[in-house]
Amino acid sequence: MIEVKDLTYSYDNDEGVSEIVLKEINLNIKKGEFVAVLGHNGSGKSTFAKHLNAIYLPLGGKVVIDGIDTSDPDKLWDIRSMVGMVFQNPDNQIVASIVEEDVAFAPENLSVPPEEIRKRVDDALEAVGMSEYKNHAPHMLSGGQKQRVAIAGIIAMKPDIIVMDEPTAMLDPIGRREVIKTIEDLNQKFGITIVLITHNMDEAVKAQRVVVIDAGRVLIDDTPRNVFKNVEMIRSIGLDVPQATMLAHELIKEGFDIRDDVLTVDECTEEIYKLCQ
Amino acid sequence: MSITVENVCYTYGKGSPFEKKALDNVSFHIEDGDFIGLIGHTGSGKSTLIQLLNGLIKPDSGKVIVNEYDLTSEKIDMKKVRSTVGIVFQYPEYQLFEETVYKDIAFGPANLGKSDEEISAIIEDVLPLVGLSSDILDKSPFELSGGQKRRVAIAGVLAMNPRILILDEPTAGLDPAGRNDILSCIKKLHDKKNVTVILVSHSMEDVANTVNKIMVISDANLIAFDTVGNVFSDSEKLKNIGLNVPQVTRIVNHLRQKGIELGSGIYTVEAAVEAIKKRVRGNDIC
Repeated sequence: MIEVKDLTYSYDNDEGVSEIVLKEINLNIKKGEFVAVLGHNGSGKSTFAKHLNAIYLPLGGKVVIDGIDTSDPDKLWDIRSMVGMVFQNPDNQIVASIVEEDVAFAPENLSVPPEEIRKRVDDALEAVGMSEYKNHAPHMLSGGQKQRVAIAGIIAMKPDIIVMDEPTAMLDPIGRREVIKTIEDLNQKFGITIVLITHNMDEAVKAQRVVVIDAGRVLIDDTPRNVFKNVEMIRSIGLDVPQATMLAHELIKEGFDIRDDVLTVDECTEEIYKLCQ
Repeated sequence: MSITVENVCYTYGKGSPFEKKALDNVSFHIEDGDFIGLIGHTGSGKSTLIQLLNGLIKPDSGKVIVNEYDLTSEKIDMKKVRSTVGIVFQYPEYQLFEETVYKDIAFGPANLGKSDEEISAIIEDVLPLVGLSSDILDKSPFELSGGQKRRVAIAGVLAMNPRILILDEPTAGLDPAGRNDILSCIKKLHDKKNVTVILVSHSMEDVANTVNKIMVISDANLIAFDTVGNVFSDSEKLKNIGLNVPQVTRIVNHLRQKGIELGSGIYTVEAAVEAIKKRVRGNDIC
């Protein structure tokens, strides 16, 4: 579905010196996968995300989406309608003054017939659990609700892939939960391939696969369990692990004999429970 | 600097269809040098509360007293209040506007009537507090990274030398390293300069690691104001209002349900490790 081959990208900084942001990234993402991309600020992860729907074009190597090279200018609209993108700030992504009109914006631009648009808008709002708000004004919604409307706007284009660049960074815990639940549903129920860029380790745990980008390179690419096991390494590149993982790690350092790949509160509770028996 | 809030009520859009009670008869007292975490979900009234504390809005009824200033009185000199209580709003980097970092930080003290020499001394003083070096002073704030911009914005508030510092989600949107940097800056300020700090946060882990006391607001009411340990010990109550406790506290609570008592007030990884060591190794000796 997504093939990234030797992707290299750089830009000129203020002094006119070329800075390498991505260096020979190789990655294949299969249809229906849920992949989390982690990396600290400036690691290149957003630059990477923007290559997936041709907002940026590779300076070296290539990005191929379902057989189409993103640098083919004639195929730009195919790429854009195949790969939807959701950004951090919901307020920057909403264009209309009524929720359902906002969701209809993209299919209207793709010249989808009106009856089809009606259906897509209804389905999209249903998928994100926002149907009852279809006649509301977006600015009266909470952050989590707005972000779900933004996601519905993407779903209405019927993309195969949705790339999300820190979609929960500006939300409160309830909004976060809503959005993450929506993302999981889209992946599991609708089979949409998800690439989730995040700083939140508890969100990354929900993915099937975690890719860690550091200094423009892929540092690790594995299951969340195998990635977060490397507590020291993850922390050394300015990232974090879930608190449950941290606690288990500290206990192992103290000489306790427990699993080294604890991810969740329940797993950690279980391990400590066994210790105390 | 102490803060006393007595029976404060505040309603938005009174008489309009959007009328919403933001604070309903809230009272509390904050001691000089307290380090408080303010938690509550979106729309709970947190932001209204912090705006009341430096007089940006006035309560419909009740009193807000900051040190000797009664913010609800008509005669109050707002300039004094504003230089006493500094607020760092959410995403403060969007408020940067000057040509250089120096001018941006200087804006507050210049408006308070400080001389050029005083201002340059102040800037020299606040930069290390937020972990910035003086070589960025001549740069445009807009060419800095997100984390640096935020630190410049915080420096701008610190330059007014507030005795009470309120920060509204200062770590939102930062990566873990940036988050830890900002939190340790705030902690340093509190510890070294004895500034009273109110930290608004959605991250229970961050709150647990930094503050002494927690204030919980839900649905316009103050529902808890106590030590971190006591507030997190009632995880059901927090859950009911849509908040969580730190993962570590959840683990300790789950263990308690399974009959294993590690003790109360455990909300950091370090404390949990100690409690488990005591429990398990203690057993070995018996």
